[in-house]
Amino acid sequence: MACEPNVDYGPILRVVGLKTYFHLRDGTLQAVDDVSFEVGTGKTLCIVGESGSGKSVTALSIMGLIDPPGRIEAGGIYHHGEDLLELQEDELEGRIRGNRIGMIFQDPMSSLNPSFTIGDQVAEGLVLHRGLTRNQARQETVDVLRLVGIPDAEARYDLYPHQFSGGMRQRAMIAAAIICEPDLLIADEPTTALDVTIQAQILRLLAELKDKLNSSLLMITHDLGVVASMADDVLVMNAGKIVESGTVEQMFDSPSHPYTQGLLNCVIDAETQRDGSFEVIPGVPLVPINPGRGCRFKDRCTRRFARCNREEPVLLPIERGHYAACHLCDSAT
Amino acid sequence: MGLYVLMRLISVVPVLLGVSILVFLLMHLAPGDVTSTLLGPMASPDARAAIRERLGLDLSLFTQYWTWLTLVLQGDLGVSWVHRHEVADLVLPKFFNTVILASAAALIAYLVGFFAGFVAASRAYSLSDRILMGVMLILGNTPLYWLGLILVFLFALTWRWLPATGMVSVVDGGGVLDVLRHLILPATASALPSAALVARVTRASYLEILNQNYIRAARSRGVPRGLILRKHALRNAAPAILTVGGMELGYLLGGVVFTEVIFAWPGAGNQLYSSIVGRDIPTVQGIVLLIALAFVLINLIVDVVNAYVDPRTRTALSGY
Ligand SMILES: Nc1ncnc2c1ncn2[C@@H]1O[C@H](COP(=O)(O)OP(=O)(O)OP(=O)(O)O)[C@@H](O)[C@H]1O
Ligand SMILES: [Mg+2]
Repeated sequence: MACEPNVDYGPILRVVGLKTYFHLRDGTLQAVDDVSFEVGTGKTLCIVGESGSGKSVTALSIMGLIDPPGRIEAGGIYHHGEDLLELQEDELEGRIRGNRIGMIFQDPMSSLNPSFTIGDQVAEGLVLHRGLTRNQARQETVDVLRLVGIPDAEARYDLYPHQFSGGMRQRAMIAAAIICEPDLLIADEPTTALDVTIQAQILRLLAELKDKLNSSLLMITHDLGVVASMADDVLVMNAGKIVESGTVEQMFDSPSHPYTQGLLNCVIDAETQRDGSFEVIPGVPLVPINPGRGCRFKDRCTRRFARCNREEPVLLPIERGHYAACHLCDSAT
Repeated sequence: MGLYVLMRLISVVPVLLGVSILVFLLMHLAPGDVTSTLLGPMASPDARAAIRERLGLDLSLFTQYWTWLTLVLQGDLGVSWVHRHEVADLVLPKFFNTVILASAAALIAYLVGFFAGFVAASRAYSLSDRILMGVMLILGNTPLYWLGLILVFLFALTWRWLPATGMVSVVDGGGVLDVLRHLILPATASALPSAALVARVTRASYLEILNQNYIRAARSRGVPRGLILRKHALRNAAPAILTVGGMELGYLLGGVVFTEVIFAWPGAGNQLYSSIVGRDIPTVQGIVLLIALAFVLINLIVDVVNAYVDPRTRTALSGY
């Protein structure tokens, strides 16, 4: 085993210039606008940003699950170098979704079909992608249910979702997402709907599974504590744009975009101010319908200047691997 | 589950009582009475009075109803004023014919309605969806008698493919095939409004289910679209479709009156029509009671099936 020809150290996922727009009655909503990033093999990338910034739409675009009135307008989504946007729907269904890329959703209460047993839904990947019968898949499924920490898995296989607690349902969702051992796991706020005590367990489980399966993780979260403990790399989104990206150290040590700084301040304030006042970034997030000229954060930015109104900042390197889209960081200013 | 069904059965009683009182009052409050049917318009007042006395029509409304009710509670629907038959003997065979017609109509309505709704939902908001639902809307809102006449005109009179009236041919009548041939036109005519409703409900409940998070989760596991429609969504769309299907079957049982009259189908609806015209109150009461009973029983069955289909209620009810 001197050399392993199959090991590919390039990024497992490379998103280039992704534009996902929703064509609504009031105009075109640029939910994801020219977004590019990579998920390194074996790495965890966290996407953070306020509500409506386009995190979920980014994830759904990768899965090919954008429905009308939404549409992917441009870009490339390269999974092991293969552009998923070039694939037909049946190829995505047959080869990619649930097989090579697994996804976990925010709300475990509504993400399981109430009419089918847990086992039925978790085993689905094996039936669809490995061509097993339900009976053949059963033992393997029970093993995976055990792996995600569901006690008494053999008996619970035949239970229905309403007989599961929220935490157990999310474990089942995770089991369904990993059953074919995908090399990329996408988790969209997997703990937001859960009790605080269970959140930590689920996060630990995700980290363990990622290592065990040798997969990479794309994690969407609101919680910067989660970012600090899990991420290798971080992507900060605002109003459909990436405003800053870099390693987790770069993000926490030298946040460069006023928006990132604002997000971090929220956390620090919440920790220091025991009176419970929680300072969020003042103002409401911009909804990118016909966003107009200039920076999409300018209306809420305390440090804006003339150029911010005129010109949309582009993502530029600040240091190696650390990018920000802000005129303040542009050395040419 | 047994207790639940029992409770539901008990709750049927006040419904039937209410219906029978309502029909009884309507029949008595409407102008005209059975004496004209029996004696003709020229009869003398004395002859009329004699009949009225014999039938008990001179008693108070309450006494009349009470007499009828006590008999019904003993399983006796009374005697027809016009036909001099037991109401039960008169009505039951006709009701059976109505059940045949209504079942055939329901079957057509379910097949056409479900298929149209399914296809429309799977291509929601496309041109074919719009055309399909537009056609269903027009068919569904066309007055039944007009639709019936058009069908008769085209299939029976112009093209002479199918018989327009009756249940069996007079010459070589009998066999199942003959009944089927006679069924097609009346069943289709009464089925179309129900088919339109079933189509609309099927499409709407499908679209609602297809928007659910668990459908997206299933797609994220690679479940192909066809399987989503046939399996994942169907199970959850089914209760709404079943419910409207049951209601439509009940509605058809009562609603084939028009069709039966137009197509001279020897059913309870046809009988109901002539009994109302003839003011034959015991027969009207008997038929209405049967139809109402069938209506509530069908709905009960649908509810039980639905409770059983949904694992949440199934486990909750299994404790009973
Ligand atoms: N199906 C849809 N139809 C119309 N607009 C949509 C749809 N899905 C998302 N959007 C819009 O796209 C934008 C980005 O939404 P997205 O769900 O990605 O936000 P998010 O960053 O995931 O927020 P949250 O933290 O609340 O989950 C929002 O303005 C949202 O209203
Ligand atoms: Mg989201």
